[in-house]
Amino acid sequence: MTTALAPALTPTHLRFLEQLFPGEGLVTKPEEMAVFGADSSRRSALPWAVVRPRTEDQIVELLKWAEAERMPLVPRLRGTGMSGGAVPAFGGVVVSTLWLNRVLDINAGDFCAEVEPGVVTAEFQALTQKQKLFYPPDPASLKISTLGGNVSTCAGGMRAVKYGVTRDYVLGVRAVLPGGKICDAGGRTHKNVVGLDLTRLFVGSCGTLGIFTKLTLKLLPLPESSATVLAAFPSLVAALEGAKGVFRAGILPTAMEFMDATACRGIAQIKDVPWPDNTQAVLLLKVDGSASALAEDIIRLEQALSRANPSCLLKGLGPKEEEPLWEIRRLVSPAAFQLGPDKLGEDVAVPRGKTVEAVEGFQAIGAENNTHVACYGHLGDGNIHVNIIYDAADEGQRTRAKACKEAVFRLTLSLGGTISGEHGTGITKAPYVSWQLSETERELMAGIKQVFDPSGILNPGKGWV
Amino acid sequence: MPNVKHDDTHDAKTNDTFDAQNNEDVNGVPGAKAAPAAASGEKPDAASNGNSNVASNDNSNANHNAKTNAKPERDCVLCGCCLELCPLFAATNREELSPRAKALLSGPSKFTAATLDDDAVAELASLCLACGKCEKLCPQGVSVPRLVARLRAEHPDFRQWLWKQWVTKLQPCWSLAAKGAGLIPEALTPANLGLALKGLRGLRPDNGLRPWLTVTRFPVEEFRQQYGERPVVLFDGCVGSGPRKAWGQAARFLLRGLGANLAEAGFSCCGSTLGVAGLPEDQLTARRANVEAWRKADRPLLVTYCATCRKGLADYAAPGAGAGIFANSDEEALWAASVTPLSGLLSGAAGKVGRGVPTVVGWHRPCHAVLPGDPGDADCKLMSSLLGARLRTPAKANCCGFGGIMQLSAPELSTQVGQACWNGLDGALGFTAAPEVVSAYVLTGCSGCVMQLTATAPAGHGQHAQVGHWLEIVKTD
Ligand SMILES: Cc1cc2nc3c(=O)[nH]c(=O)nc-3n(C[C@H](O)[C@H](O)[C@H](O)COP(=O)(O)OP(=O)(O)OC[C@H]3O[C@@H](n4cnc5c(N)ncnc54)[C@H](O)[C@@H]3O)c2cc1C
Ligand code: SF4
Ligand code: SF4
Repeated sequence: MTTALAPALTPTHLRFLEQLFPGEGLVTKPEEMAVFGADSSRRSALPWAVVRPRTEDQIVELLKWAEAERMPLVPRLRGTGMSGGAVPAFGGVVVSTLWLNRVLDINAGDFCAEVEPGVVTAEFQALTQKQKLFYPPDPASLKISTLGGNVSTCAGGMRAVKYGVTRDYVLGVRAVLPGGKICDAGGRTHKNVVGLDLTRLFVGSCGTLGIFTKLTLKLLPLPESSATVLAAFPSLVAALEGAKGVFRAGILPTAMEFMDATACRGIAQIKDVPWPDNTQAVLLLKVDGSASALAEDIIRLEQALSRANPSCLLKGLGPKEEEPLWEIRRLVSPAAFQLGPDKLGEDVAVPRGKTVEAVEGFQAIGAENNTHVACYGHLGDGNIHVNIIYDAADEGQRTRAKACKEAVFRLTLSLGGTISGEHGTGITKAPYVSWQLSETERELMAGIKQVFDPSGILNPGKGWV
Repeated sequence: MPNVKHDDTHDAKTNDTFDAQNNEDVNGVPGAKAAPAAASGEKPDAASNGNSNVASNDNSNANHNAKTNAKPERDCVLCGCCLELCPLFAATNREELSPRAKALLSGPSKFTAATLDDDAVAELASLCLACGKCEKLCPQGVSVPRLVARLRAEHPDFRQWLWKQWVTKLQPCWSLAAKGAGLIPEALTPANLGLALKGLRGLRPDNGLRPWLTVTRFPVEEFRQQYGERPVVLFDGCVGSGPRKAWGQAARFLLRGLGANLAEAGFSCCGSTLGVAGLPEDQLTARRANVEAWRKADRPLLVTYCATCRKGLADYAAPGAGAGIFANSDEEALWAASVTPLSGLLSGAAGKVGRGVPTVVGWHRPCHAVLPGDPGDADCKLMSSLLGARLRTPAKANCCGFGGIMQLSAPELSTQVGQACWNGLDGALGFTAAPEVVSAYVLTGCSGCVMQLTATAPAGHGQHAQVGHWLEIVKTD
């Protein structure tokens, strides 16, 4: 498919782009383009050109032209993706859609909002909160990434255990397809079963099916307040037993995060920690709801956790008291560098009941390979961040780290899990997709891609194809 | 055909063919050696904590990195954490102007030199307001303003020269110049100087705000307990010793009210604008001269009323400040402990508003208002304790876009950021929505901000915006 694509930008191509994107709408100086070729995966490739549409009409014209010219296009927003989704690894014109950044509508009656893709997630959430509405998806990057990027990668977050991920809040997607047709998938209704669910296909498609110009998002009423409990345990099993106890007690936390012994050790090196030395795992839970109900919920939460004999238990009611507890959680990632200068960050997910087995297995893999492996993350939904810490300057360590990573993937898959719960496969995990998806599934996906994008001009080489 | 460049130029496996299998994270990954990934889906910052109920769009949490990341500067890992608050990026949505672009271009992980032109890189990276917001957010300790200053120093051109004239040569005639713009040597002023000139004209002494706040109680006892008879000097800075002498007068009035043992010292420019403009030698000269003046005055308490001057002075004791500024580490520590904002000394003061007080007053928080270790913006705290609900602060502390040399090199960008800042102030004050009731009246605590906000103030609605330092509202009679 890719062989038929245009191999470079000709002067004629450039003239076309100059006309369609006047002024700062077209970027061609390599110095200015450099950043558009990289993202948070730390991969990079110089774009052939960068264009910045201000209107949907420009995108329609662009896609008509690109289809005719077999011109590869790489849609881009803020480039915070972790798997190289926005990197023009196989060449092409980068389409920065950051200038499409209006919030078109926030409607408390319909519980829905219409936005352009370039709106920053946290800024949108702040706007909804003013109307006592709630858009739950909360990737850790919510202040630096966009709704369009979140939809395109189906971003997850800490609240997923209770509220689900981005996918669960996308009611409609308007996208321009190669050739310039506009597809209006879904709409403002919260239910809709007419035809196949094209909206879902767009969510998580990593810019391979169409270029979004508008998203319709579902909103909830804003919970009044929240509360947090931190509990430390002398063994991983006890911690996970505590977590189970919470669900058994009928409590559905907003967030349920955990950190294993290695992660805790890292934090203890940069901060005074409240837990005892022999701590093997720490749980952090958040509940939300009305202020009166929360006072009771937190007592129930404490009781449920107490059955697993935590060695320390702290709680906070309301954002002010909760903040210091979550500060600890946010230190995990930087703290990992206390154990070594480099790390591989994987984001595997396993069926929720398999979390103990998975974490114990990952720790064993670390021990076998004589490598620090820190596990932490979204215990509530089985999405585990596995940080493999090493020193890249040392060839032996590099090899061992890679061995660890592959062993982690194998174990994950053997437990019925997935090699990526949040970040997507992009270019960094593309080589491993075939470990998880069979020929049949991959063929089906390729067929779907073919229908949307027969010439393969949209974000070539990404994801599963 | 494929054109993947690894961003780690030391990587032996770098080649021009993209091969996903070979390009495995461990073996050939760009940056695998250069630096650790800051985040694997974990933003080590901010209120991304699963908290459903707080609109957390102020940047008061930005400082935590300063505390938690007491670590040396590492290479940029492209995590993008710095994108959150960059005013230039926010006002333009042009990624090439973002701090990440600057870090990518000037850091060791840049694209191979063959593809990028050094001068063009320096020029692009130079488009920075030096507000420092990115630096506070960076988990790797990357300081973009420092990278930019370094690049500017390596690629001096006419703008540096111009700025140097501006700061060092023109400074004595600022008050003159501000009185009548005709006195500014036009020969020195290419078209780009327009914005800076506008700001300067706004500083005309007769353009100041009319005072309406009487201080009725000074925290004399608190001051005496903490500082006793220790001598106190005031650092006036370029504007306070030039076109707006009234600031210095009000500040001295307040210090006398506190019962301070006032002394004087002959200070020059704090040097921060010089450093940012890429003139490290001139900066060092200014620093040494100021420390010498302080020494001569018997190392007194050093009181400031401009946020940027204060940061400029505090930076003398920062790592990499330059050799030979201080006699020894004790002196350096004493300096660091002596630089104090005036507003902090006045905490606990009471006041009374008089005739001429506007219905609402906007507060513009200067980017440099909160330094690492500060509990908050002392100026804003003082003003809100004195003015109560009358004082309105935009939810997001936007940068005014002053940016020193950027006023000369890219006035249109500087203006764009200024306009975004005014939009934020309008949101908090509502002068566009209800011009009959509310005026665009804004106080701040930094001379650069006063200049820039004056230069970019919205005209129209039959009224002119009024901008000033908070010292201007204090009655001194
Ligand atoms: C510190 C940090 C923390 C993170 N935490 C999380 C986390 O908790 N959970 C999580 O899931 N992810 C996380 N991420 C990953 C990242 O933030 C998300 O993938 C985010 O959704 C990307 O948004 P973006 O605006 O940066 O989009 P980009 O990275 O620019 O693009 C993402 C994808 O969308 C495509 N795209 C861009 N524009 C369009 C368009 N107009 N139409 C169609 N497709 C388009 C691109 O081609 C690309 O494939 C984190 C990243 C960082 C750096
Ligand atoms: S400068 Fe710092 S915050 Fe910005 S992308 Fe680089 S490492 Fe991240
Ligand atoms: S110093 Fe300010 S303007 Fe410059 S890159 Fe950083 S945040 Fe942007």
